[in-house]
Amino acid sequence: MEISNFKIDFKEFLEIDSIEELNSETIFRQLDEFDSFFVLTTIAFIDEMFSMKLTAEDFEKIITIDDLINFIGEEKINSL
Amino acid sequence: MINLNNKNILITGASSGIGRECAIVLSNAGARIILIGRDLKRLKETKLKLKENKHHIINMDVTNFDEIESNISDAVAIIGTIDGFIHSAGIELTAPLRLMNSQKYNEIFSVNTIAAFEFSRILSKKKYINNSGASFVFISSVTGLLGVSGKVAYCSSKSALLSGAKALALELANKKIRVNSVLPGMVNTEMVMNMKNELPVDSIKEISDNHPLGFGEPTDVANLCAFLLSDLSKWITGSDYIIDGGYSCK
Repeated sequence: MEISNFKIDFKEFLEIDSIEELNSETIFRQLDEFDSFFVLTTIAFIDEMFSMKLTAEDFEKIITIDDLINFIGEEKINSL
Repeated sequence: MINLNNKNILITGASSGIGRECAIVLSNAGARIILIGRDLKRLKETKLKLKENKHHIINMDVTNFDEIESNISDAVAIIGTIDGFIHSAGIELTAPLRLMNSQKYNEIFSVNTIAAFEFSRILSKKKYINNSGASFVFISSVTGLLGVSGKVAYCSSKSALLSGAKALALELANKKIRVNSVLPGMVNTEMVMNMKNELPVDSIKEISDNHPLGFGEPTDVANLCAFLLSDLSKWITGSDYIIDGGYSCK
C-alpha cells in the first residue's frame, strides 16, 4: 500500500471530516474528531491492519500522521 | 468462617486473575479444586499456591467443547462428584464497532458465555454432580449491565451470562443446583492491566474516579464466590451480585 493511500484509508476509517487531507501539519489532538475514542480506534486499527500493539502511552508521542507512519514503519505499510 | 471442606469445585480460567484467586481462597476454605486452563505451566503455578489437597488439573481450551465431558468424567473418577463450579475463563476485546465482525463475536462469546453453559450442561448430569446439592457461579461483569464504548462483544457476552444464569437457576433447581452471577467492576488482574495499556491516561483516570472505593483485588471477588459456593448461601439462586467498589452507584 502506498503511503498516500494509507493516509486516505486512515482518515476514512477514523471518519475525519473536519479537514480535506491528513498532512504533516495536521495535529491529531487539534482535530474536531479527537477524543479518547479516537485513540482507542487508532490502536484497534493499527492492530487489525499491521498486527502491531500501539499502547496509549505510545500514542502520547504520536502527534501527526507522520509520527504514526514512523511508528508502523514505511516498509510495513508498503508491503501491505 | 466459610467452610468448604469435602467440596470438589471446578474452576475454569484458573491459571490467572480472578480464577486463580478463587482457587487459592476456596482451597484455604477446605475445598478440593479442579483447575482448568490452557496454560499448563501457569495451572501448575496456581496449584502450588493452594493449600495441600488432592487437587486436579485439566489442561484444555474451554472452547474445545467436545473435550469437556471426557475430562470431567476422568476428574470425577479420581476425586468424586462435583459440588461447585466457577466459570472464570474470559477474554476481553477493545475494538470499535466498525472493526467488529462475526468471527470476533464468536470468539468472545465462545469463551465468555457458551463455555459456561456447556460446562453447566455436562456438570449437571446426575453421574457428575453431588445429588444432594451444588452451586454454580458465573463470573460476569458490571459491564454486563452498563455499556462501555468499544466493548460491544465483551459487554454483550457478559450480559448473556446473567440471563443464562437465571434460566439455568430455574431449570436446575429441581436438581438442587443453584446458579448465580458475580459482576465485578475493575479488578487488578492481568487482563485489566493489558486493557489499561490500550486506554488513554485520561480514560484510566476517569474509570478510576468512577470506582469510589478504587479498583478491586481478585481476593475481593474470590471471597464472594466462596460464600456463593458454601452452604451459607443455600437459599440463593438466580441472583446477580455486583461487586464493583461503587462503580454502578451512579
